[in-house]
Amino acid sequence: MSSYRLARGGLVDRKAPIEFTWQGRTHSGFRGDTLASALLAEGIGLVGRSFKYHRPRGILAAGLDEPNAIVQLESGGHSTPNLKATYVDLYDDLKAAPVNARPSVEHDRMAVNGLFKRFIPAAFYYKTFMWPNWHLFEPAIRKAAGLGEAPREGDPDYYDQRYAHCDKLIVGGGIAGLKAALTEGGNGHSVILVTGGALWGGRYAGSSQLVENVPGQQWIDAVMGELRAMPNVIVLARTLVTGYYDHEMLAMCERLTDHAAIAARSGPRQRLWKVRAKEVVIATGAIERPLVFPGNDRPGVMLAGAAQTFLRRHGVAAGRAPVVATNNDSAWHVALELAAAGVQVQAIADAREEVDARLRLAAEQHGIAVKLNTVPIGVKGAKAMNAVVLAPLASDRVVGKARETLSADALLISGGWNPVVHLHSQAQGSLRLDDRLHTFVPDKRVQANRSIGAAAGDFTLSGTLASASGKAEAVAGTDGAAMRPIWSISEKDEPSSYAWVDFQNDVTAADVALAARENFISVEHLKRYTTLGMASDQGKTSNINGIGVMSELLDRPMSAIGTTKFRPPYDPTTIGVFAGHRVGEGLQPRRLLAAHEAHLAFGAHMEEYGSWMRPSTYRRGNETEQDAVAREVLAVRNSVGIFEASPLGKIEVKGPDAATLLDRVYVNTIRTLKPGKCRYGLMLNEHGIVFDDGIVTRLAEDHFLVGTTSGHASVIAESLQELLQCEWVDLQVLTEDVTTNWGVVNIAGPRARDLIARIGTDIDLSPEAFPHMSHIEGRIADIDCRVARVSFSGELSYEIAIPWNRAAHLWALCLQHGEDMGVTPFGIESLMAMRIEKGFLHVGSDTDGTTLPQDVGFGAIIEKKKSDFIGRRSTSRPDGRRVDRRQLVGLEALDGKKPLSVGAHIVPDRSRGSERSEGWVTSSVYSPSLDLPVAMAMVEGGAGRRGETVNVWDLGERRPARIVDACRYDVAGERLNG
Amino acid sequence: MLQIKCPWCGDRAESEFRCGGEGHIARPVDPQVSSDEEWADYLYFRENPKGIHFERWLHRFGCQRWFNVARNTVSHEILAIYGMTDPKPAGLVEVPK
Amino acid sequence: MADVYSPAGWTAEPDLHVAKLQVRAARPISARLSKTIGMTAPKPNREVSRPGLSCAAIAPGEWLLVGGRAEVDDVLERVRGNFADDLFLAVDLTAGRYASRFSGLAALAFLSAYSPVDFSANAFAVGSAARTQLGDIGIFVTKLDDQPTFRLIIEQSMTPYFHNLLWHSRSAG
Repeated sequence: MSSYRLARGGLVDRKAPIEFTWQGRTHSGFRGDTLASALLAEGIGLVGRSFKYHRPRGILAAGLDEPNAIVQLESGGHSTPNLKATYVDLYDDLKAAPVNARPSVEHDRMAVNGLFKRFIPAAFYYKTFMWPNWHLFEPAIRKAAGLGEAPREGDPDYYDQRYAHCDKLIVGGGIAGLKAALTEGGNGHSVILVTGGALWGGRYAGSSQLVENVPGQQWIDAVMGELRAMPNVIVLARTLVTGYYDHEMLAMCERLTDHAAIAARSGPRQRLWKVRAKEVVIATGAIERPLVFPGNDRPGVMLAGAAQTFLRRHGVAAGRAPVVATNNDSAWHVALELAAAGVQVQAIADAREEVDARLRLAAEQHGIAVKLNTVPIGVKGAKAMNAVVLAPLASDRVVGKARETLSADALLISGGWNPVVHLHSQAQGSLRLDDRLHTFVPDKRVQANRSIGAAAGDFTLSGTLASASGKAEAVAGTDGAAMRPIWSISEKDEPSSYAWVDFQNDVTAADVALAARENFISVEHLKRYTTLGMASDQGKTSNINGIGVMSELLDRPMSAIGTTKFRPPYDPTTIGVFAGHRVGEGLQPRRLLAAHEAHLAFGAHMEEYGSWMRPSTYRRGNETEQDAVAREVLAVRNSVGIFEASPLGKIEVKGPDAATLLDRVYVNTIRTLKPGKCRYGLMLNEHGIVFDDGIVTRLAEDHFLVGTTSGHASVIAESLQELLQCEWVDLQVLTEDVTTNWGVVNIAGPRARDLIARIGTDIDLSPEAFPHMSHIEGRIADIDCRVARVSFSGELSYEIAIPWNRAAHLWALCLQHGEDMGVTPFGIESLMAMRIEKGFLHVGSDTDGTTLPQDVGFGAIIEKKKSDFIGRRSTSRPDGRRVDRRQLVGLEALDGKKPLSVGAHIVPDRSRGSERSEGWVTSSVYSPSLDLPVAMAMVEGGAGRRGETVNVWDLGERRPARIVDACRYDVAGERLNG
Repeated sequence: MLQIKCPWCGDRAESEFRCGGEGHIARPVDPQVSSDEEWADYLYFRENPKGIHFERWLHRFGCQRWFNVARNTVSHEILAIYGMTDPKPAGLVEVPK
Repeated sequence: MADVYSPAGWTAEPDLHVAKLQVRAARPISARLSKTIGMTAPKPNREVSRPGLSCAAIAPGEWLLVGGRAEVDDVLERVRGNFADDLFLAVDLTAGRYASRFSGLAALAFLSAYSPVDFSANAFAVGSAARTQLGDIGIFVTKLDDQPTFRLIIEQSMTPYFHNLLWHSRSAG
């Protein structure tokens, strides 16, 4: 293999060779290379296989517009699919392979697809694999037509995120961006300047072309030096703006370690910047269009501007003997620069009939043949190019009969330039078709931004410097002669089926014609029918050509075809960088109980309930969960148990109108509650749906404590404030969520009173002084507490709220003083078992988004209450008055001791002919207290069906059960008194 | 992500706020006398204009206060921010239905 | 272990007392508030301090009191007298909060990693106070000095999450 590295030139460090592996074979490049430039330097022209037909492909571009050189980088956890070789900085021991070729690009077994190409046109898959079912064919098609592989291992890296704020965010590190940063920084603005790649200067990097009378690279070095010295300017290389969102919020991905050898990496791999700018300066440059002609996808065909970039940045020649084909002036300058660097440019073929005489003279002085009104019509060579076939144009798209074959190892093409309008467009700016550039340029802007330089369609250096320094608005145009728009070249009137428009998704000019014939002519339809522009490069090189081809076929202006919407991200972006800290423990807050360590020490089996880690049971030895529940429940029923209930919501509500507010938010009447008393209350949302329940306590005439379900405190606190601030602004009420101020220890069981007395308290615990559903503030173990006598278990029960940081102490005292009583910590599962035994409602388990209060036994309370409350009106809509609504009932299994399955359907006896579901089991447990299974269910008309036998259907199994009262244990409620 | 000028806290990122939907929707004074249609209108029927939308927002992570916003749903430009009990600002034309 | 990670420049303030005062009064209360806290009442989103006590105006009619136990208790006691005719709610939140201070550029990087508020010197001067988001939780931030030193107060059950954030941003900045 001959080397394509020139003896001189480029910004690579020739003293720093780098070994890397491509397709399992070792190669070498230099520091400063990209993977693409290193491959080119090694003479590796065939770097991939196309998506659909597995055609051999070479490097087309030098940046993120690259459609062909799509690689899988590294293996294992570091593996990253679908990177553009042109954007991968070379590092020591890099390992890469093409994504779409097995076993290798040279011997790709799916290349046979190419032979059947004419049978697989656009929409082939849509049309062919409809019957009987796409999913039958999908796996094989996905395997044949796919890109890289997602890594199977966990990501070994972590990712940073940060917010930033600035006056001016300047996107693009070319001449325009640098000049703009220098100007705005000099004006004293806070500036962030970013460039996506490793180098500053854009197309001028490594160039000796004069900028403000200084050779390009010198100008770049000088400006960067000035910018780095400005304290108000931040410059970030390898930082790509991926999206432009509302109000000048932009997302940028900074690649921190991707360019370092894997062994040498430390710290976060990438950083997501979330920048809020006052103004955005869009200096994102332009992307070159390929010419669309038969064989334009063959290895060796490269964009002329890319060849210039490889020459300037890496000292690499795209070919030793290239032919240049163009329809505009820009490629002429590339040819001349290559010739000056010693490359034997064979010829320049220009579609135009006339060109600037100075360009022509300069070419001829370099010994370059000039062919006007001439376009490429094919290339020769199987896997490496050896010749280019040229032909004269007979019209704007059909060639004449004459052919000329020139020996060449590369064909450098230019079909014109497209400004990178993505960010302008993402920021809702409009586009207009420029008649001279034959492409879309920024028109009206909606947000605070301005496009400058090539991004604005201004391809002149003087104009770019002027708009960048704020001296003038950018004006679209070029220094050179007008281009000749050539959208597709064919030997006949029909567009060629071997002339590629979208290289990555294998869409040809003929496919666009097929879409036109079948009337998929709007740009959005064209895109979806042919998949043009839908690959990982999002059509950077293909969209405008596709619109051009369509416009020519329909004989309508390009502006009538329109463009598709530009959406973030500009380039595929690592999911990890968007996740940032939201991985592992950072996924969502995990909250711990006040006595968390004590629970663990006692053998608690922790589970997540809402965001809280709570003991489900405290298993001993070989106990199953059911064993532990039985032991814990019986301990509570027979002696005393303790339970940490700290997550129960606690909201202070204070003010002269506090009772009025609470009367309006609870189904129950609150104003009649006496100070020192508690009441169980149900809250609805305005749709009448059961929303929350809990104990409300009247601390004083104008002061309440609202209890909510665990994990719901902040939601209820927020909805109380919404009502106070938005609906009832005259109510004199203040609220404060004090949930995590107070740890809560629930002491339950016939000996609960004894245990508290032993710990020591100044509260009179006698039933007369402290009856059920009352509240007393006092001292327990010399700590100020709020004690409520309420019960979720049906037993004598006290809820002791104690300052959070003292709760673990109280817990320890309970264990210590209750040891001889057999005091038993119990978990959520045991609490649930006891509340199901008692038939107590559990909002969210027994209720769902359709449950009205009358469905759970609150009909009579509503009837009695005179005043309005949130959701009341909704309970009396026609649907709420249906007699066949599902109602909460108890269920008794009639076939033994196995608990019914939660979610199992209630179906009528089969003798009735129908097995329509009439409801389902909502709560079910094996009752340790009753030694039989107990369950609750929502059943149509359930309240009136007590005693009826039904079938409980679960996964094909039917079990007989009887509808009974929900409360199964201590129906008279005598145990509440201990 | 919008930038919203909270009347108390100043310019803050949208992620600190919660949008409470269309503003200026008064809860019927006596819902029990509302017809099903009136009640359904209060609960479910909302404007969905292409243009100026009047909506209420909560600065959830900041001062925890509700306020009104007039926002252009096309450009996302915020045209006015005003108190919960203030009327719609004069001069902002509503899109005809 | 992630949940106890503490970077250089960061210290917990377990003895700091925190209380919140809400007042809804028909007449202006600025003078009475100044008398109650023993210094000129703070402007919106600002914090005023005297030895042992700081007071920040965090929302209309809402102030956060931070300081030593005696000082905070003393203010709460005086509130009961000075605002007896107004609707007020004064709650000691000490047990429900987790307070710390964080100094240096690492503190700035930490806040910038998780909060959309601009904490740079120009935008957030000494004496500024803000409630904002830190990742997925709420946080109260005041700037104590130009090092810069920030006081950070979160809801105490979010402590493990807070330390996980500290750990995740260990090399930010």
